[in-house]
Amino acid sequence: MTRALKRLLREPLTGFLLLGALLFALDARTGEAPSGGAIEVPPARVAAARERLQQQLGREPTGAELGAQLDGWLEQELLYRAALDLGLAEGDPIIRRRLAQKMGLLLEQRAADREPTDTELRELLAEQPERYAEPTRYRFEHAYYPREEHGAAAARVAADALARLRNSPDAPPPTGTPFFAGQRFDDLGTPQLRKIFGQDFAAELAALPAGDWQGPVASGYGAHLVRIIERVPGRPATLEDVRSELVSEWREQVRRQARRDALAELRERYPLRLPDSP
Amino acid sequence: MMRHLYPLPVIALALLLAGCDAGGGRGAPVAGGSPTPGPDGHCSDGRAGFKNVYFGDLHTHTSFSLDAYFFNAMTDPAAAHRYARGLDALPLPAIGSEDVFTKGREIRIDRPLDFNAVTDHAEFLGGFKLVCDNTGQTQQACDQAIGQGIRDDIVAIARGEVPFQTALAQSIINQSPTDMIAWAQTKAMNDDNYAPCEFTTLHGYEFSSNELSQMFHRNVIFNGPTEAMPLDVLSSFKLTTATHPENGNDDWDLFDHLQQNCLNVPGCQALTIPHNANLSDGRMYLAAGEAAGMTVLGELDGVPLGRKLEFSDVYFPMTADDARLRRELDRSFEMTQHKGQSECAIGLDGEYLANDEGFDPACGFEINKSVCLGRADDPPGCAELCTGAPEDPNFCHHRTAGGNLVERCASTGPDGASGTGEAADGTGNCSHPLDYYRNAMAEGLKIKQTLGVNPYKVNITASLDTHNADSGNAVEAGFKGHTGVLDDEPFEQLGFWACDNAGGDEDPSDPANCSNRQFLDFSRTLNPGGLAGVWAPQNTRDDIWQAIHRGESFGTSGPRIRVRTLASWDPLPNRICSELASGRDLIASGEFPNAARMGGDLPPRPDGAGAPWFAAVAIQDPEGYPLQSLDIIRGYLDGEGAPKVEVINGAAQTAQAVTLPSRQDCSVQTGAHPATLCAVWQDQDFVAGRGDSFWYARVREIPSCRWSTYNCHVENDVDCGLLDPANGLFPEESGLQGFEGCCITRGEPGSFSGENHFHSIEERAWASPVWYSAP
Repeated sequence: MTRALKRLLREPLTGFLLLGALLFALDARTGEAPSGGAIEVPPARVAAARERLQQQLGREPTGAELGAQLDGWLEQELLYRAALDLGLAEGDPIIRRRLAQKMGLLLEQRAADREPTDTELRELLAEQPERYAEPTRYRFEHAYYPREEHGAAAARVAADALARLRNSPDAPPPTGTPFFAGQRFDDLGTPQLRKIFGQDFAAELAALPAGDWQGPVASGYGAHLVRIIERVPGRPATLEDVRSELVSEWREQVRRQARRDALAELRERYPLRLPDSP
Repeated sequence: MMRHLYPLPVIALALLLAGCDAGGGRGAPVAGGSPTPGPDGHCSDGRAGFKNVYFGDLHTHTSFSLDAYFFNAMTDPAAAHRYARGLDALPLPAIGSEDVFTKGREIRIDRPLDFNAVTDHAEFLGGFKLVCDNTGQTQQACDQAIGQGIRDDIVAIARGEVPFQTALAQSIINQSPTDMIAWAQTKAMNDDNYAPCEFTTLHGYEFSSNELSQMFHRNVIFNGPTEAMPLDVLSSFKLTTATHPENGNDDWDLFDHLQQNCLNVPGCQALTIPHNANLSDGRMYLAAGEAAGMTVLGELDGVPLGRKLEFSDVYFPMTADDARLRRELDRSFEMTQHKGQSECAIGLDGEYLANDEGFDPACGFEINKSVCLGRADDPPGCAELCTGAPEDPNFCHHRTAGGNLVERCASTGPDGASGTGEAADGTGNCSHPLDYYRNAMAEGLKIKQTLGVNPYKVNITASLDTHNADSGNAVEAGFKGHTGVLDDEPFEQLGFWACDNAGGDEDPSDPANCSNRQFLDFSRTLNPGGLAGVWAPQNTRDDIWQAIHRGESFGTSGPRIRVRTLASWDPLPNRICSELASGRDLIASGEFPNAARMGGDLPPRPDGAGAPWFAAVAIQDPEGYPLQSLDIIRGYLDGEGAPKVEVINGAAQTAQAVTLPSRQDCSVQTGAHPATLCAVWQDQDFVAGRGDSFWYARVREIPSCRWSTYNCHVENDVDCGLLDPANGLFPEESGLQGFEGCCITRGEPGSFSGENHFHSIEERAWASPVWYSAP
């Protein structure tokens, strides 16, 4: 496909026209739309009516029964065609609204009808790298010194325990008080860390060296001593890490853009003329 | 009647975690740091045998709602989800501007939510958005023609006092097919913004029956494949609503619709969340045996009114089948939200409360409609809480008669039949004990005795009910309203002086030229709303919905407090506290064969079993304040079969004296107040053979500043000594015009003086009850 053709296909107006042609073709096939000429009852409708009657009657319907079944449809179709010929659809606010809504939906749906290219996804990723980035993850253990046990002294109690540990290398590791969510975490990313310990604790952890017991670190619950066993530093996401998220984000943006573009284009096609002020 | 606790509540401050490391997941890759689905479809934070806690909001309006469109037209369901997930800022009109189409500021959520449901009004869903949103010109025309009227009349509309022409137009316009398109768009946006394991969106809408002053609303939340969802929403407006307003069958209409269009459709599941019972004037939960002046075809003994003959005052008693249908759909109760709290209210404990003191002092929290009128015959609790001091709860300073100050309903009934006098007067300006959760639940125990099923049995969540699309924005400090241009300015938020102004030339600042001059509380009685919490294996649409449906859920007034409970026929070991807190599924593990989790039913009483045991554990919000008290509320039938509620405040509590926040900057002294509280308690007063019971836990934080206090004391430095004695308004040179609602105003024209309020609140959480259903 030539580049010009591709561009043409991406134009909302082209899509608009193609869709129009498609609708026309569909209408032509079902035979329900063109006004004026003879009314041909769509075969599918006849078949459906026959089936319904068969179920009701338990036998093949007569021609008259079938005719009666189709009368309602025919009556509506006759009135509909006559109304179209008289131009009654013009200026009817309900029809106007319905058609505008259908068109809007069609334009938006068409926009999301293709798959994004890798280049498009990379561009999207580059726009908000922090949103997709892999955060720092931790394997760590902690000893908890509750506020309700130690009050304002919680940090000092924790610091004392750390000092004892540092002064005697053979001392057992600090245990503190058992913590509701556990004392050891094998793989906790920053957002999950925040949910359990709060934002300040998560921020402090980021600044601690790994290897030895450190602290005290404050949380909403009291004070903690922390030993980071392993820290996996955060890194920007690659395309493959977050492809599915990027695809849905791309669709969302394309849909919004398509509506804006289509409306802008339609505005040019149908120039607005305001009434002269008196 | 407050009885001894036996054994004394076990306050377990140390929570042992039995050799398990929680929260770490399985080491699976985590995109963006959040849990992700593995190849088997399970989430990386799922742990076999454990449940995690997730927080969300189940009540948000966007511009697809007929009212919210004219408060802030720049949003849609996708914008609400993206705000809640922390992806995008949310556009809002400028403060002071009435232009709802132009962004003047934007806000971001403080912490992302785990799940969210947008619940726009079914009534004319998406209509104004679709009709008015074409060009700038149409928007302005729409806004002038309709929006201005809606904003001007909002108080009347909220009370259901809609002018006949408006009601007629609404009834007709409501028949337009636009809602199907908006509903389809809503579902598509929900699906697009669903990120399994990280962020769940739920399909939902609000059914907003509002006739005859009775707020009688329910949110509908769906589960299952989107293709199985109903194609349209059910609106409470009917063609006849304007000419013949009635609400007698509105609940049954909704339940029938959902049964036919969802429950009977393979794959489709639905639940409903009744809300704002506090504003229903006794309509949401009808009393057993009360006919309210209606003709009843049948025996009403022990049963409330059920369906009615349309366009008549002829009712049938509620049937067992209908009670079952209601119980099948009403699964969760919105305990608190923007328009106030619905657990209990001072002065409305009525004949239900068994405590000797006759009131529960913890019920002064975010009451929208108060029956404390400052009279000698005020019910118990009013005088005790409302002492005239600046530190009194906010409700003590309600001033709008007929709106926020009302009488207790002498009788209650559907079709606006509630009233204060001998005969129902239909004014709706009343409030009733059954407008509050724990009384209504107790009443349901009584109905079960006759019908064999408890139609009122419902578990607990809480939500926002924002009309700004800012799902999950439940923060007190900096709160600027939840209805866009309607309540973002100080005078709107805090209230203002007004006249009847029938002639159009009256002036609130001139008491001599102001008929019926009164202070309108307006949004001063409102609040930022609450959040829903669930205990679920993982964060997927099905897991979250099922947790709400089975009632393994709780509501909070905003903070992310965790609370979890369990009841058992067997004595509970002390380790129950740490086990519950760790998220372990103690029922599935089989360790407690005669127990039930929150939201569940106790198994049949084993032979020889004594009174049941109840355990509750609460953990503070890691970014919030410490806990003060864990309360246990018990509902039961007494020896005469009367529904009763007993409140055990402080079943576990802080050992330290509780103080108010700083008057200077609202800072809170955390001291040695606990981060966790746990109570293990036996219901010694339980009597087998007296029917059903329930037990739920309520947990309260130490006091912190209410949003209005941040506004008056911290964000602004309002000095009520500067009020003009002539009219009780701030003079222009004070720069404080519009902040009159910060003041207790005393005196009369010529002698007005003011004193600053200092309202603090005890933020809280409520866990779904454990139920005992007698055979």
